[in-house]
Amino acid sequence: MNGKKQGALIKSLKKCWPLYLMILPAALYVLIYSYGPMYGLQIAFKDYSARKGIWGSDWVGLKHFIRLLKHPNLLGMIKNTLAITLYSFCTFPVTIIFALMLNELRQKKFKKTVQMISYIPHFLSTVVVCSMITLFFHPRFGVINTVITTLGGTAQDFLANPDYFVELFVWSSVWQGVGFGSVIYTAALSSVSTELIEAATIDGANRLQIIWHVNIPHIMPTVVIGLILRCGNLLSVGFEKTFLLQNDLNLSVSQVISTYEYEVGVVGGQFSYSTAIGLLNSIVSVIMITIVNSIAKRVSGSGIW
Amino acid sequence: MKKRLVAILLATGMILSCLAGCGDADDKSKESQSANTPDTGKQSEVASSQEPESKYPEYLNMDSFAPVIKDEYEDDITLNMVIVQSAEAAKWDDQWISKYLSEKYNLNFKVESILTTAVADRKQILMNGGQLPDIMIGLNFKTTEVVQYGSTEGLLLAMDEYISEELTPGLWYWLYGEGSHTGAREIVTANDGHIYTLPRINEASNAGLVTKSFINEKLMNEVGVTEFPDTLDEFDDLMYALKEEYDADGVGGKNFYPFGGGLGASPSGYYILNALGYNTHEPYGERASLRNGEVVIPAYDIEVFQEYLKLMNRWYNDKIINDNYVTITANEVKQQVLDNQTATYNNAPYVAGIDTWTDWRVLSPLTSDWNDTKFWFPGNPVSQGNFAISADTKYPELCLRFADLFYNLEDNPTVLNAGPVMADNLYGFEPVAVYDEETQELINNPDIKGGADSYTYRIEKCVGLELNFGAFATDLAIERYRSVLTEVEGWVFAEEEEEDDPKEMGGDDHYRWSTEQYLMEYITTKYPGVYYVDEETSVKITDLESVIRPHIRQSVGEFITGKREITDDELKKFQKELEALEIKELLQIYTDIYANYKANLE
Repeated sequence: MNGKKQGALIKSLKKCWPLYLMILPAALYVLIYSYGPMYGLQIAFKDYSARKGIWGSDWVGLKHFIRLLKHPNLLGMIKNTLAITLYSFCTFPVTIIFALMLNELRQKKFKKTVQMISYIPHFLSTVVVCSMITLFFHPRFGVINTVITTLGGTAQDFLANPDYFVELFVWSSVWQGVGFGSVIYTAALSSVSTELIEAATIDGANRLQIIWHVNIPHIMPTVVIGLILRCGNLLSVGFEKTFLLQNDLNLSVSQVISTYEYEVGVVGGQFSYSTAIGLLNSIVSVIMITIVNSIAKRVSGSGIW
Repeated sequence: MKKRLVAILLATGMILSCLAGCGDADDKSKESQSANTPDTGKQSEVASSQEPESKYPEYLNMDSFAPVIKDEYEDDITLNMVIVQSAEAAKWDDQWISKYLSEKYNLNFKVESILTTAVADRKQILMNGGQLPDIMIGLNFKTTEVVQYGSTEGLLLAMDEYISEELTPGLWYWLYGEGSHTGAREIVTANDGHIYTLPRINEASNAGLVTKSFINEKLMNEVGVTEFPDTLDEFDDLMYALKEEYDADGVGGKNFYPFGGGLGASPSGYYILNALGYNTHEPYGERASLRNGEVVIPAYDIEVFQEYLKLMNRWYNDKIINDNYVTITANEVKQQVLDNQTATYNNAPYVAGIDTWTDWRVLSPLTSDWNDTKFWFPGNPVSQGNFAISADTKYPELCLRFADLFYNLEDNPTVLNAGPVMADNLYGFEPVAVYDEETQELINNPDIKGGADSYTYRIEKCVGLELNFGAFATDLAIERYRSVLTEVEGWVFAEEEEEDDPKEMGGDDHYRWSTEQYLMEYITTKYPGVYYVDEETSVKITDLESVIRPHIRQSVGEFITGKREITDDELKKFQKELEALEIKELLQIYTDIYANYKANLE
């Protein structure tokens, strides 16, 4: 039996070797930069000393995890993290709706123009996006407040108001990601059988009904996979953007696990502690993905594994 | 066949692009591998247990200060060094200083440069990465890091074991000899008795070191105030008088905010805290401070601290301070000074770019109902943390002999900061300064190629690295510099005369004169800026400060902007919140540190 499997593998390698060759760099990259450093996770259970190195540092068991769990603001940071990620989660359909709308455009030129314009923000760096947010929402010179005051309203310091932080964070991410994120759904929609659509049209379905009964079911597996992967990031908020938009007045909502990890780990040099934080985060993410994958498989029949 | 070729080309291209990201030929991002680190996997003994060499290495020239490495020594010695630079500075090999050190002293370096904005991140990665360079300059090691990397982990060389009158006469002078009155040795000696970083030594009377703010005296006079206020109430009245005069409407058009600056950027609030009796230079009230000789954390000292919050909140509502006081940036503040939209500024006025600096004067301290003594927070004439040597270096004596160049008054330390001036050390560069026969002074070179100003040219092309160590800014070093110029170039310098008329002074001279006139007499002692604690205490401080300080910052911002009401109940609640975050424990730690500090002084 094993001999048969080996034979099949060798046959597959011989037949599809260009494909394996093309995937080799990516596989090597993941092996070297993702799997390779995994042995370093042990420092979450050690008091890492640069002098002693990873292998020579002393074991301390769960000391760093206990320290994290005892942190007076842990619940606050988790709450802030979840507030942002759950809100982001709710904007998940925006990308799908955008892809569906694009798919309905008949004028190819206009469609391509819209697609191109919507992709561009994805290529802006986080620093540039945060600078734009700071400028646009400036209480005195920002375009938003200029419009507000022109229309008779009162200028507001949006960035200093903790109530607006999550909205600013999430919707700027949506603006930045909706175009590029829709690519995968647009690709899936392009493979919908035209015969199905014709058949639906003949049966009297209007455009909305076609979208609901044909297009959406067709892209559902892709949506489910995207959803599951999203769930894996429930406790992970991008550090850069939160850090750049933070100020003294919004700390109560902008202090998240990733910024704390940066402050103690990278700036504070406490690598064992920050590794413990990251590891705990990852464990929660894996558990979430596993649960959501099982639920998705039971409900829709689609899952990552 | 074609398919195979395309697949191979594509795969090769992808592999190459992956590999390109692995290494970088650019000095600024490349990890420098110390040629002197132990073999992989081999753990060396903690350096502090090393015995000092009884004989100096043969390559060291002990007969004179230059060269450092003997000319006749045949083997190449290249020291690995990490420096901190601004983005505009040229690469080390293109800088004048690298040529000067190489030609005059036979010192050659392989340099990795870190941007000033990236120091906080890169420092920790460098220290924990396992391969340290021989020399680290500009990394600004905090005392907790000195204890961690020096005392505990033994990564930093215990330099006291090598400093001697013979090997490092300059360092010996400033740390143990006649120059030790500056207190430099106490600042750089860790709690285990060793010296892991070298000091930056300035004159205690240096007005440039003191935190201060300035007021537009001309505007002050125009509203009828000819004498600077003595009390906080008088200052308060002055602010309203300025507002009334220059922005009666309060909103729209040309907004005028008499008390400039912000809470975080270009901070100005510390001036009010000082009037209330807090010996501090930060505006949040989050750091250990002294009040009536007692150690306090001002934000927790709510009985008096609330007066600060009340006044700032009133100023916020009446637009005496910016309506984006909490989020304003330093550039905006500068622009306000340039546009005449404020009457105070927390830096030397010429720094904002104005040419009317003579209209400004420094803010003198005030008294108030809660403080009847005028005093001011002193600067730090001695700092530490910006020159360190790896404990694993094979050339400790050489590294220290190099460091000594920045302290040795018998050589010429100031030239390392001043840049090329003398004809015999230009090495193809244009001089930064030239001798003016009429004034008998050095003046900025007006003819630098490309029209660059002298200061920019020096920082970018000549001495473009953070030099926060050394004694080259002391009066003795400057005196030595001038005497060398006289000796070598024949330039005679006029005796420095007191400027009669401050109105004729340049921006830098004027702000120093103003500080000396109106502030220096009030300088008093302060809570120590540099102190060493053991690792356990250090971790405790970090843990407590990491939750307490953000809470204080947010709350102070909310109180000032009115998002949180300043009522008795709310203030009590704020106090309780701080107590829940264990502020009492933090205060006790600060108090113990101060008690130790005072005991050591005695």
